[in-house]
Amino acid sequence: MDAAIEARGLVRHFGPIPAVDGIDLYVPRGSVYGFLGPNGSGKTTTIRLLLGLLRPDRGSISLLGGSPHDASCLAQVGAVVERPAFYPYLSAHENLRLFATLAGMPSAVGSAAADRALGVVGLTTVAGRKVGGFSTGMKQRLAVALALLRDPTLVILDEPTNGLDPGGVVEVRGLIGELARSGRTVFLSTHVLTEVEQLCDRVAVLQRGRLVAEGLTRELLERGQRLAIAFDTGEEAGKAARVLADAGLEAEAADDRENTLLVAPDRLGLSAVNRLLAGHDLYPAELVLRRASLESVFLELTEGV
Amino acid sequence: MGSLIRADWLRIRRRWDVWIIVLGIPVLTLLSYVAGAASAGNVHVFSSGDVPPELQAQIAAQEAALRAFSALPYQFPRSIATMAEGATLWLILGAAFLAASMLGNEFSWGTIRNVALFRADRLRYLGARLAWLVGLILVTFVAVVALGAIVPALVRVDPGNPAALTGDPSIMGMFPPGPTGPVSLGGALLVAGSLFCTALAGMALAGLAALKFRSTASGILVAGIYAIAEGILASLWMSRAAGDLRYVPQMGLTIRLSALLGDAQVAAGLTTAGGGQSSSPGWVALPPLLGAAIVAVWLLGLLGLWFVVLRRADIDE
Repeated sequence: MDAAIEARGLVRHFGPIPAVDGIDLYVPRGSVYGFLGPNGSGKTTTIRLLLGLLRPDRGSISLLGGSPHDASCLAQVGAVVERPAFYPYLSAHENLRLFATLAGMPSAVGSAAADRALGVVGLTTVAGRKVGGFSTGMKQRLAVALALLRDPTLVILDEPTNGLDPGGVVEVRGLIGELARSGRTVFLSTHVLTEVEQLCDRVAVLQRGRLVAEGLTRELLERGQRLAIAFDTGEEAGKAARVLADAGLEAEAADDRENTLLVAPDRLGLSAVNRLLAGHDLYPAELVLRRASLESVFLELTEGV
Repeated sequence: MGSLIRADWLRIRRRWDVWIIVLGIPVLTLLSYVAGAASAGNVHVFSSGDVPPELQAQIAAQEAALRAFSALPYQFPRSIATMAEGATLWLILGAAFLAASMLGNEFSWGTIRNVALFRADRLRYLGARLAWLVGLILVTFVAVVALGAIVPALVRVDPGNPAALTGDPSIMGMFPPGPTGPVSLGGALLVAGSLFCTALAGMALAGLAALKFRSTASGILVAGIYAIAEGILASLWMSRAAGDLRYVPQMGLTIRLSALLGDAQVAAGLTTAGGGQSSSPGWVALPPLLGAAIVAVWLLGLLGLWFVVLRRADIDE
């Protein structure tokens, strides 16, 4: 599949500290790609590198097949990077029209594009108000409008729901879904894991400037799922733990239920585990596959690193 | 480039601080000119007690000479130079503020990031901004010069008796206290032109500092500190250096600008000696053209550094 973003061996230091340390990224066109990581893990630095705002110490970046320093390439990219930045003394419409002019759009086209983008984010009624008087949430919506101004093929969103009220979060989330359905590539950096779980088909997890996991969201969630095996007695549970350990499966006691073991079913399936236990006269009272939340997978991936 | 210029117009047209500077400087200078013109003929040489008749004649001659002398700056075309001289400080500070503000605010507001995303060619963006800055300073400068040319027709100052300026030196004593020769239109424009160069240098220095330190306030502050520090160090150097080393401090920006303004005044016949550091011990006068060339090198160097700084800058706003 053709890549919307491809980065190889990306390294960027700030002083002696590596903010981004050898990242490889492959974001297929048309995908919604989640970019996760705790605060200070290097997400925003990576986004700035991808957009050509920072220069990498090492590594290469391809954005829609071109360089991030290539104007024709950037023209197909819309981005929200960290906090929204606008001219406070200009209105929302004037701000967008200014950037449309900067992008080389004729005045009437730029004005129409500004109207359309403001409509998409629900700011039409305040289009004539100065941005200096906007709330954080309104500025955030305007930043999304700016990202959509040029009808981009690739949309890079860095914490797009920051500062939004619950209604705004739902709206922006819906908007991201619409962008994805329209065939655009969306690169979404966020702390809101449910957002990623709902929207993203691929996900990368960053920790201390390094990628600790990357792949399909479904696969990542499968990595975190556990087989919960409940027994009637603690004695049975202890015996089962030893049997499973002999078979190479590490079992741990569940925190939330007595006499219950949790097993990562990486090597054996549900029925194979059942057969193995039955072979040792152990009959579970309950055998359930517990689906993992992205939150638990994320914590598991980032806490130990 | 056209879209960049148009985008800058959208930015600038609603900035009141810009228009206050562009329109305020000519207005302030005009007020100062009118105040000076209003008091130009108000000259008296005081005496007390019984004054002998021959001394009375001498006092009358000195009064007439002073009256004619004080009216000289307000006669066309010298009025252009007078207006330019009155605008010097305002224009330099205004140009420095405009540059620092129009460049530094992009960083403090974070809008430089959006600019970089919408225009990958940062150097053209900076070129358009430079064109606007020079244009705004030029508009202010032209307004000052035009007022200098027009105002004498509106605010008339009695020239007195110009013949009194060429009275018998044995009677006149120390009066009048400066050159009294006519100033040509070319001379007046030379003085005004040197002011324009000085304003551009203020713009270039403050703009570079604002780009480097990514802030309006830092830009103005650093440019001001540089100018003061250079003046102090140059004075110290000149007072101690000997031989060819005496030329070194005279390569400094602020010293050369001061000398440029002084040289222009001398060339126009407004003064007999250059201003600024020219009275310092160790001062070596350079040929005016060489001095102007050094200023040009400084100007081009500072503006060149604008582009180097922005081209290499990480945009982490």
